[in-house]
Amino acid sequence: MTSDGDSPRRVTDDPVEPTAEPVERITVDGTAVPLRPGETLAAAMLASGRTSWRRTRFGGRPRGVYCGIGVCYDCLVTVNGVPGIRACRYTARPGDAVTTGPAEPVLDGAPQ
Amino acid sequence: MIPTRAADVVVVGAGPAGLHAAVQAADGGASVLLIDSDVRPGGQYHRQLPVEYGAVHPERAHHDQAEAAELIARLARHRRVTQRQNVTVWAAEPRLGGGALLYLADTSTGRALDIGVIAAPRVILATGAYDRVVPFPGWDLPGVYTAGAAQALAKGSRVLVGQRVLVAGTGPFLLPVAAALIDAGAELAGVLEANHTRGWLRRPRAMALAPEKVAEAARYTATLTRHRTRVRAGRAVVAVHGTDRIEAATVAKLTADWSIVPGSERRVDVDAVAVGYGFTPQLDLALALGCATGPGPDGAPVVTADDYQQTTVAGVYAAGELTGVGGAVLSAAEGALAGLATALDLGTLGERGHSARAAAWRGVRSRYQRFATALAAVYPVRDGWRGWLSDSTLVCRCEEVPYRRLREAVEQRGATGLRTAKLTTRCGMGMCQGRICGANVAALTAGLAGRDETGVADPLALSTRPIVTPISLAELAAEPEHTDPA
Amino acid sequence: MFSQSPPATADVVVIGAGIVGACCGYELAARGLSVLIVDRGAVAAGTTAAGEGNLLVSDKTPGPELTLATLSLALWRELPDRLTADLGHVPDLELEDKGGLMVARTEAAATALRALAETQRKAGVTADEVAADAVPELEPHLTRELATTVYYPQDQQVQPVLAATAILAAAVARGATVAPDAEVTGVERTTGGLRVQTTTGPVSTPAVVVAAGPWSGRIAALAQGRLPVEPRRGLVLVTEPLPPTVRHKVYDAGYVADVGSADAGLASSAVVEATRAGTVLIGSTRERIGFDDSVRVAALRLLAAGAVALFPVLGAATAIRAYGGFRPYSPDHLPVIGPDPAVPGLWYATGHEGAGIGLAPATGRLLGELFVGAPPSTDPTPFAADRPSLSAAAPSTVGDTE
Repeated sequence: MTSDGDSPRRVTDDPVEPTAEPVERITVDGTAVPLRPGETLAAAMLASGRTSWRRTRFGGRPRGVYCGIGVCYDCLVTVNGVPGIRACRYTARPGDAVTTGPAEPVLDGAPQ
Repeated sequence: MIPTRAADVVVVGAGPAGLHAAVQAADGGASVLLIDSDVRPGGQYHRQLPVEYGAVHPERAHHDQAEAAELIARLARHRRVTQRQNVTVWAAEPRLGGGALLYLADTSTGRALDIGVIAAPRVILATGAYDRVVPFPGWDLPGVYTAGAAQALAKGSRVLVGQRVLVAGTGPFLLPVAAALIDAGAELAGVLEANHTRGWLRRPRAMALAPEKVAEAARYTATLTRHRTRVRAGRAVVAVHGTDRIEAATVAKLTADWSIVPGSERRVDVDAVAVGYGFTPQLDLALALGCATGPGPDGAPVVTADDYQQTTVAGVYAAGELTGVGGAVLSAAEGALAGLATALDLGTLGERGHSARAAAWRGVRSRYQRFATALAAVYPVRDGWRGWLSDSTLVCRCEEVPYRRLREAVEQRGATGLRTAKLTTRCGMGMCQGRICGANVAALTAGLAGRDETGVADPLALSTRPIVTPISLAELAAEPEHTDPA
Repeated sequence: MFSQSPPATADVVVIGAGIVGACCGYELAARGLSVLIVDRGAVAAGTTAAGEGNLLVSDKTPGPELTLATLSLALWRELPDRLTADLGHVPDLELEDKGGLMVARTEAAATALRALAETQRKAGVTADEVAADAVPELEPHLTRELATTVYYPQDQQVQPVLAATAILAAAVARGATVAPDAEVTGVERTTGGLRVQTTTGPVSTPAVVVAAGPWSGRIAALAQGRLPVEPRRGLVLVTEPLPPTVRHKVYDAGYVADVGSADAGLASSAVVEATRAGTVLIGSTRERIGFDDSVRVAALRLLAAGAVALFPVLGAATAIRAYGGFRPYSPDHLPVIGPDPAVPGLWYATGHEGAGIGLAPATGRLLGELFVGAPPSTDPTPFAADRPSLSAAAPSTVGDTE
C-alpha cells in the first residue's frame, strides 16, 4: 500500500489513458494514501485497499462505500475536522486529513 | 436576506432530463439557472471523468457520450444559462405565486451556501433516481455495492470495486454495469438476471419502440461475449458471506416468483458483488413542494405530471426518472418538454414556436413511455425475494433493523402502514432517511399485512424528507428571515 | 384481534386508533365490554406518530389538567407491568423516568417560573429550584446563562407509537378488535342505538367513542354532535444520533406560556430531549393553519435557534429530519372526556392538544369508569362536553381547510 501505481483496484493499462497519476497524498488516520487529482475520497480509499472505514453504532458493523452516489450515508468520514462528509461526494485535495471512527460526531466545547 | 430571483427558470439536476430542460428553456428565451449536486454535469447516465485525470481518450470509457458532451459544452457557452455544480437543495418550499424557494448547500461539505435561498418562479425538478437493492443475508457487508456504485467508480474514477465480481439483479442496467467492469479489467464471476427472461432484445415490440437502445444493448452484449460472459437468467445472489468484508456469495436458481429452487444454491468466491433491482425515483423535493404522486410503471409512487411536464403545483415541473423510471432517452424528452413549457409560460416562446419544437419530443416521450411500461413488465421485482431474508437480515442499514423486528411489528403490533412500521421499528429513521430501505420496507410491510404494495397505508412515509440533506443546527439557526419580492 | 373485516356488532365502537383511542379501548375491554377500535388508516399513524412523547406535570398550572396529569403519570408508571401481564412479554415502550428541567433565561421569566413552581408544589408536584452551581452536574452541556432552573423529577418520556401499538395489542389480548383502514363515513341513529358506517362495512352499536384527535370535530358532526376541536400544527426537529449530550427533558420556561396561548400565529419555545436511539428531539412549534402539512424553513429555524440557545454544543450537530402533525386544539385548552348530553350514545375522548400522550391513560381510565357508571378516579366535570367554556369560546378565525 506504499505505492499506489500497482494498486489492484486501479484500472491498469487504462484505455482512457489518464495523464495524471496517483502521485499526490492524503492521510487517513495518519497513514499516507495516494491520490489521483480529481478523484473522490471514496475512490482514493478504495484504491488504497480499504473496503470499510466506519462502524455502526449499535452492532459495530463495518461500513464503507455502498451506493457511491451520496444516497446511503454509509461512507461517512471526518475531513480536516469536519464530520459527516460523504466520501463518495467529496473530491479529495492533496493533503486532506481524513479520520475515520465512530458513527457519531464528537461534540465538544464547554457551554458559555 | 431577501432571496434573489435567480433566473426565470431554475433546473435542479444536470442529468439527461435537466440538461435538455435547461437548453430548451434557454433556447426558448428564458434565463436559466442549472444547479446540480455533482462536481460535473451529466448525472448518473452521462457521468464524466474528472478533468484533472487528463484522459487522452475519455470516450473509451464513455460510449455514446459525444452528444452529451456537446450538450454540456453548449450549455456552458449559452449566454442565458448559469450553471452551479456541487450544489444541493437541502430544503424547498412552495413560493407564493408559483414555483419554489430553494435552500442551497454545498454538496461536498453539507454547509449552507452564502447565497442561501433563491426564489424560482418556475422550477424544473430533474432529480433522477438511484439503485434499488432488495436485501438478502449479508447484503450490508463491505464489498456489496449497488450496481450504480460499481459503474460510477469504474467509469467515473477508474477504480474497481473488486477483482472478481458478481453482477446480479434485474433489468437492462445490469448489462452496462457488467460491460463497464469488464472494460475496466475486472473478472466477472457471473451476470445474474433474476427474471426468467432472455431479455427485452428478444421482444420485437419493445425493440421497435426503442431502436436507439438496441444498438447500445448489442454493444454491451458483444463486450460480454468477447469475455465469454453471458447473462444467466432466473438466478440471483441470495446471500453473501464474510466477517468484515465479503468473501463469497451464494448464488441460487429462482422459481418464476423468485423463490429459491431448493438444492440449487452454490457458493462462489468473489471479492465484490454489484447488485441492482431497478431504481427508486428521488421524490423528496417534489414532495416538499406538495406535488401529487401516483403509481409509476412498477407500481411505486412517482410524481404526477401533465402534458407540459407540470406537476400539480403551479410553476413546478418534473422531468426524468422522478415521473417514472424510463431511462435516459425518455428523461431527455421529458426534460426538453419541461424546458419548452417554461419558455411558453414565460412568454418568450409563442404557441406556434412551442408546438413546432415540442412535436418531436412528444413523439419520443410517448414511444419511450410505452417502452418503459414494456420493460417494467419484463423486469418486475417479484415477491419471492422476501423469502431470502432470515430473521437477522438487516432491512434498514442505517438503524440496523433486522427483518424480525419488522415482521413482529406488523404481525403483533398491527403496523400495517408505513408510518407505523417506521416508528415501531426505526426503519427509515437513520441518516439516509429511508432512501435505501423505503421501497423494501413498503413491500415487506404490505406482504406481511397480506396486501399488495399499492395497498399499504401512508405510502410516502419513507419518502417524505422536509430536510433533504442534513444541515447543521448552527446554520439552520442562522438561516435569515426572508421575504419574497415577487 | 387485528382485523380487516370488522364485526357487525359491538358494545362500543372507538373511532381512532391513536394513543387515546387505544387507552379507551383498553379500559373498556378490561371492563368486559366487546370493543371495536376503528381507524381510517394504520394504527397510531396520525397525531400519535407526530408526538414527542412528553409525559409532563411541569408544564401544567394547578387545576383540572394537572390533576388529570398526576393521575396519568401514576398510570404510566404501572403500565409496563400491566401490559406485560396482558401480552406475556415485556413490551419495549422506551419509557424513561428521566425528569425534566424547566429553565428561565431572563429575570422576568425566572420570576414567573418561581411563581409557577410554588403553585405547583402546593398542588403536590415536586418542583425543586436548582442552585446555579448544581445545574452543570444535572445537565453538563446546558448553557450557564440561566436565571433559574427548576427540576421536575416526575416528568417522563415515552415513544408514543411503541406505547400506542402495545396498548392496542393489550386491548386485543383482552378481547377487543382493532380494524385499521376502516374509515367512518356516517353515524346513523337506529331504533336500537347507532349504526356506524365504515368503508369496510356497517357496525351496529349502542355507543361510539370519538377519539379521532384533531379530526374529532368532523366525526362528531357525522353523529350530529357539536365539538369545537381544531387542528393546531406542531413541528419537531430531529438531530443525527449523538453521544449522550442531553440527559433530561429540558424546556425553556416560555413553553408554558405558548401552550396556554390562543394565538394562531407561529410560536415556539425550546423543548429538548434525547431519545434512546441517540437522536435529540427539538420541539415544538405551534400554529393554527388548518390541515396544511408543508414544512417551512422559518419554523425549523425557530426550533434550531431555541435548541442552540439552551445547548450551544448542539450547534455543531446536524438536523436530519423534521416531522409535523396536528394536535387537537380545544378552545379552553382542556380535553373533552365523557358523554355528549345532546346525543345519546355519543362519547368523546379528545381535545388534549399537545398533551395527549401524557394524558391518555387517565383519559381512558376516566372514560371507562364513566361509561360503566363506576366511581370516577378524578372529577369529570371540568372535561364535560357541555361545559360553558367550550361553547362560549369565540369562534376561531382559522377554520378547517378541507
